[in-house]
Amino acid sequence: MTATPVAPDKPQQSPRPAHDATLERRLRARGRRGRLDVRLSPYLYISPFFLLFLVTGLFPLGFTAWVATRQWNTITGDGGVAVCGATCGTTDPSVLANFQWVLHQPAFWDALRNSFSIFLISTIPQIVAALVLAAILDANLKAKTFWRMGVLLPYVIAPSAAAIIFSQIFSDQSGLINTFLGWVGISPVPWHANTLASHIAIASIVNFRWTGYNTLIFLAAMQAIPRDVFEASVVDGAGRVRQFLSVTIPMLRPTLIFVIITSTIGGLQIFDEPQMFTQGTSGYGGPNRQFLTVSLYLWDLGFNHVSIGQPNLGRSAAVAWLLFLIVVVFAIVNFLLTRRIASAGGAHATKSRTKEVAR
Amino acid sequence: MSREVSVATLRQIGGNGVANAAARKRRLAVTSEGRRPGWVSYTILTVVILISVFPLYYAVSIASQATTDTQYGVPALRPGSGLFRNLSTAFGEIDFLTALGGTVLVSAVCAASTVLFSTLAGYSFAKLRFRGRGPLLFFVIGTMAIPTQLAVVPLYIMMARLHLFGTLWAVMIPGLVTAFGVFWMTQYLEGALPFELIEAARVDGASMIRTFWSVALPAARPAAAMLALFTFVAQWTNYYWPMLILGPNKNAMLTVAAAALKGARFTDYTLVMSGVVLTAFPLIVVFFFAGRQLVSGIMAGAVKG
Amino acid sequence: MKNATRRGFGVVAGVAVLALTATACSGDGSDDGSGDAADAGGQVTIKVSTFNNFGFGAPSGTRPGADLWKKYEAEHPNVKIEETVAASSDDARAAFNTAISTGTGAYDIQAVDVDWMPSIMAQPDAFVDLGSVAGTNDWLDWKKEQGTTPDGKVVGLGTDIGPEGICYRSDLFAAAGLPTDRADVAALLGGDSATWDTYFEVGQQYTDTTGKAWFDSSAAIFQGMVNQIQYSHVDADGNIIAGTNPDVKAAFDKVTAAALKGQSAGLQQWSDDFNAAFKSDKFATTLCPAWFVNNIRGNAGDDFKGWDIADVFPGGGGNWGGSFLVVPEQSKVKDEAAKLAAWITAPEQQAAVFAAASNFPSSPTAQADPTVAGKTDPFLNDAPVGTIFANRAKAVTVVPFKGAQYFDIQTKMADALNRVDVTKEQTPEQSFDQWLQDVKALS
Repeated sequence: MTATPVAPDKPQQSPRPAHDATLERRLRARGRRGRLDVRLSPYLYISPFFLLFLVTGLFPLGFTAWVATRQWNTITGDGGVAVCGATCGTTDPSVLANFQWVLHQPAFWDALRNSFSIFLISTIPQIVAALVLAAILDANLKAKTFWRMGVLLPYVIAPSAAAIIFSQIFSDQSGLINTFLGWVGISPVPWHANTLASHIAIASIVNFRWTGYNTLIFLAAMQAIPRDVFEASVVDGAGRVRQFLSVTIPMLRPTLIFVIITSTIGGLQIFDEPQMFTQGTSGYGGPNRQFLTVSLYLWDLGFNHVSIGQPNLGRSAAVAWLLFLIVVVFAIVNFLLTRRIASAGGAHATKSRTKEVAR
Repeated sequence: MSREVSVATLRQIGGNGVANAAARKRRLAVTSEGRRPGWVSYTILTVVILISVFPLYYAVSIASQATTDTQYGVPALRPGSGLFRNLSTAFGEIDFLTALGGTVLVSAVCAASTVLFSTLAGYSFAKLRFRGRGPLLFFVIGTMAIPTQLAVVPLYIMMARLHLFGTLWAVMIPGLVTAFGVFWMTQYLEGALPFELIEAARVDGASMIRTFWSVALPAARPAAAMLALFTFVAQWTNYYWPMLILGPNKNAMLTVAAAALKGARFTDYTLVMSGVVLTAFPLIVVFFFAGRQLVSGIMAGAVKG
Repeated sequence: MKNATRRGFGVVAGVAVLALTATACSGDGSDDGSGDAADAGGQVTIKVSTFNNFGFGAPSGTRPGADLWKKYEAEHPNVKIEETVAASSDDARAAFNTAISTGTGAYDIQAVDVDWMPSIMAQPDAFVDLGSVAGTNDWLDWKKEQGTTPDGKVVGLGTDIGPEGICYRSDLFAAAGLPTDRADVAALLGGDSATWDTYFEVGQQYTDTTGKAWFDSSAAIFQGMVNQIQYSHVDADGNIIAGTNPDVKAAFDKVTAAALKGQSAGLQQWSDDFNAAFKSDKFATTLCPAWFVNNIRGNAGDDFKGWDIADVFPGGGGNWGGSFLVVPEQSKVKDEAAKLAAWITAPEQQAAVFAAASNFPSSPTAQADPTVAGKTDPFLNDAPVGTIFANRAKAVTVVPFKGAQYFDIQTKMADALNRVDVTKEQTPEQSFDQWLQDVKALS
């Protein structure tokens, strides 16, 4: 849904009814078998996707909702309608009990705060850096491919592996950064203890992997800007920086919006980095939940700290649904925002695209 | 299945949109790149690439330390003498070949399946007329934003019931198709495959499936290659779902095996880093050969070749 | 562009082919292994899950081992053993829980830490009764009890126990003007009547003299203290008494007070910093259950000099850790697995493990074995570890009761201690209050 407003340009050739009509007329002459072929084939072609998607995407959605209303333990299974228990001071079964329980947990709210914070800290510098890098790469460089591949290299490193490496860099006492700081007489940064510091550390693992990727996306968009626009701005007496800010950036708006939206969806689900960033083997997300994210909370609740007698999978499912609702709200806000921004500039293309897709 | 899939793939929509913009540019026949960049640009880029490479270097450097090389409070920035010994220990410890085989299998099967089914569905959506086409396509696009975590709990229960827990099947199945793939191929084929071609094939008496095979599939190839490459990388670097569903079977895939090595209590970092280096290495090698394609894939998206 | 994409396609296709061949060759273990566990030729594959270091396997790198699997395989040519080592008890527990819940993923033999053994004992039907295969194996009474249900079903066979001494750095002691000889150190800490108060008093002296920490981690010290409380977080009827138990609060207060006075190195147990610090001069003592010697050596490196062990423990003896082997009913080769579990926990094998690694036998016969009783450890300055740990085991008078909820409550307690000691963001009172909240959320 969020993708709709920034869906790619309608390609030059849209399915023209005229063609379809001729095609069908000719085919109709080909008898029953051919007609059946024509009529059924489209469904046949989309069915593998939809069947698989039904099993792995759609059915789980509904099933999660069901589990979320139950006292479902990972080991012992379904234990009846959910009960909130001591947390909300009631033992009455209710389909909303797991949601109530989750909303009563300070851990959930901390996780939400952290997810947003890490998302912001990872997205904003990443986009700024990617824009600047793209601007540099947009020039007539020697060995273009080398530089482009160079910035993209971290993309093939799995986030979990990157996180292991960075945990050696960000260790509180023996890590590379704090050792260096110690050498120059600066007091060490509590990377795992301080909430903001931990978010910065995790965000830098995210940025390590994705900055180059976004750079290339922006680079492609920049190269698509007609050069006469730049020429006009030069005639108007704009300097390089001025040109970047008032010509390049506005022209990149759709791409920017797109990158922001995808970063949001991804950022709210961040898991690998905070999981591997956790020190020791318990207390995932830090002893005071400094960097516990919603996804990490979901996993810890449902799969990591499993005890008989707790409806942990039910509560985990409730977290999943709350996460879903948050993403949907975000998507709608994004959608409305981008519509407004889109209508400010270059609107026609986006609108027709939206219509096309929605048809 | 993972965040990676969704992000990696979704991000390409940007690439795609951008790509078409690039096509527009080409139409305008505007020559790009006027000025020659100065040393400042090269310096910045060099610094950025050093930052990209440094963590890898540091990992290799730690992996190369013999136990006597390291000293508390002195970062292992200088390569030591134990690289091959450590690598070979890690090689056995994580059962590298099994893990590599598992990862390659999952990545390749998911890439192949995603490409095949997405091309089929994309062709259908782009070029064939049938009842319900609009709503179905809208539905596909709508589901792209669903957080993958939403499905984790039920998929876990499903895999357990199907007795697939701990197997590569369980890792693979949720990655066999992606909504994004369908969207991507639909977008591409709408532009890249002229109706005249389909028509000609049909007039020649080709059946629908033959038309798909001989006309649509070749036309879809550039986009299919990109989709395959991205799905492959996304699955390769995936950690959350495999970690969850492989359970005790930790040496079945590379990311999970490396993470399992980074344990506690008995952590030998030279060994952990050797594991990381080993598990990262194959994809870096692939990157050296296919990196150019990856770059142009991100940049050009579905620009017709 | 066209060429480029075609090449891209070629690469992917090539890799796909490679994949299929690669897995065709090496795929058997990674797929559904349990299905073909026992094939036509009578061949049996037994999958074993352990954690940390049980010392069963071949010695490798920093992991000592008695190479017992190989020995068993040699005696039983139809058996093949695959051991998977989880990083820690916590990891093993999480993996085991998910595996047992799915009904398919479990191992044939699972190692279970004493701290989460109660949650296994809460579902005895899921495990094989090992009473009949145990044969002549013997265990300390309390060890045997922990693995046996009230109605006599033997769910777990004991492997090792974790009697605790005090490991100390003799070089740092010398620099601080403290005695270095292990008998003198034991006397310094109070000998047979050592108390936690003495331990922290000496610690304060050390810290005041040197400006360095006395112990590694508050959570580790607390582990030692809580293992001396009969009913800590859960009472005999399974009710949660965490929060109202004065003994627990007293222990918490004592250790956090010492930490706030600079006695703790502020290391989070099992963290990167923690592991690295055994090579540093950051702290001078650590609680030393037998199995932990493996960790100290692994973290510090074989050739590191300075660590020693004193035959003393504050507050009476203490047992920390030690494990059991269980065989899930799900196992397709449970008879063979049970036989192997019995064999590997037999006195002879327990003795061999202690000789090679440092996991102290739970079998009295093994403890009396000369290879055990006479063992000295060069890493610990040739300390007579066989006698020391035997003495430490004898000093254990309290066998703590751990209900099914113990593990989770204790995990949250470690978080609470870390908030005071490691991240230093809360006062002990704030942290304790948050722990009470956390405990409430566990219901």
